[in-house]
Amino acid sequence: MNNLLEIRDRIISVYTQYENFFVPAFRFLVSYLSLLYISSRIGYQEVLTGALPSLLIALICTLVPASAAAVILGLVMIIQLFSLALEAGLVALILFLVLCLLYFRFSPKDAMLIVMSPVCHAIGIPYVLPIAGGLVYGPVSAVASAIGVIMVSFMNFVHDNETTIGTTGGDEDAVTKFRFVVDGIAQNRTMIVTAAAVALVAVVVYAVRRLRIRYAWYIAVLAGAVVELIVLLVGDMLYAISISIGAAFLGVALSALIGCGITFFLFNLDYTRIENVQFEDDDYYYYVKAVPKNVYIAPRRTVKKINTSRHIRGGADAEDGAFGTFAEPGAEDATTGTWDRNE
Amino acid sequence: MINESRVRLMTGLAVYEAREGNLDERIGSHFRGDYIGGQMLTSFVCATLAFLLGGLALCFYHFEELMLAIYSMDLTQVAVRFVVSYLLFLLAFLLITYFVYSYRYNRAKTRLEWYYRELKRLSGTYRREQEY
Repeated sequence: MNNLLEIRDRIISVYTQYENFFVPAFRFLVSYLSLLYISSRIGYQEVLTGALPSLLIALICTLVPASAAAVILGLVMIIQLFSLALEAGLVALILFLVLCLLYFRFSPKDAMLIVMSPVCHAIGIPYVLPIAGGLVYGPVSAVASAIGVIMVSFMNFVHDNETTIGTTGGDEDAVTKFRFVVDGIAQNRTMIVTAAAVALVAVVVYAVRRLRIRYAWYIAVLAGAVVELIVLLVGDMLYAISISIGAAFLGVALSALIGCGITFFLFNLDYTRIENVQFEDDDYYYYVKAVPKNVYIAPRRTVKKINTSRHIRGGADAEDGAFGTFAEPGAEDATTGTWDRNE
Repeated sequence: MINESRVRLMTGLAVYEAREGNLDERIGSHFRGDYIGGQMLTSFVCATLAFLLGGLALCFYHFEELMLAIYSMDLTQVAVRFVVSYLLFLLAFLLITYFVYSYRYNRAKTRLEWYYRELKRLSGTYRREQEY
């Protein structure tokens, strides 16, 4: 445990030392990977899919606040979808505007979860977002997590049906295609179940981590993981959704591990040394439970100086009472000198 | 000689100023009613636009049915349903806005009170130093 705490302390000290570098680098990496994911799924506009445009957009996303970065990603998606078909772009635009008016209007702090969403989906751990959101932000991160799921499902739907959506037709065809795209989102049961699961998990994780119980954060992560699995299993049984239970189990387990990692860094308490204290003032009695933080105590190095108080003199100067020479054990170049007999 | 407690105090204040300080100052410069009222007005506009957009999308989605039934439908009933839905939606959104911005205002005020208290403490240390 002490080794882990030492590693944690070192990571935190390195992070705080280079925070100005790490935070933008992380944001740039996440934005760039998200853009790559968007390009791989709905990269219909060649101007935006190249490496250089993606790098430039990712750079802009790094420099602006997280909610603005999420808006930029949304705009990129809309342009890509308009390049495929007017109807797909129109649906995306309406969803985006409604989202901006109703959600980004509150300038949420957890918009980074939306930016991270494509990356987490790509590596198979979308379930980490509500757990991290519930731990770090609050119950409102349920909305951001659900938006992330809807965004990725929408891209996947368009990618899977690009030939149907991309074909050109008359005015009547436009309405049919519009309906097709809307139905693709509204009747996507996998998306609805997953969005409900992540939203519920964010609320559960937040509610449990606020409880006054031992290991509340770890229990919250575990509860979140269990709720996630239960909702996915029930959804699978009720609606026969296309979720691979094995992959979901692995993803949830990995997400729980990451949640435990977050807890280790942010809320690491030593429950073996709880102190219950009681005191009073003029108006109240106070019953306080103080839980100490788990901190790494670096071992104190003591340097023994064997010959500090002794007068070491060179062989030529040794005249009074000198009786021999000594050498430091283990030293390659043996130090020679004399010491006084009287000492 | 460096006064360690003062350095600690100033660091805390500087961290606060860099993070939430500016926003809190802006919030704190309003009266509670003005701030929440202003935000609710913005929310009113946002909710209205969002509802209209949603309604437009719904009309386009049911375009064919709408065109076929437009002369036979009871327009008054449709209008009443539209207005009632809008009012319910608006009410829910305004309630959320009220709770969110009340919470933000109270939190900003609490932090500002702490900030001014700490500033007084800081100036007190300078005053004491001059007295000695």
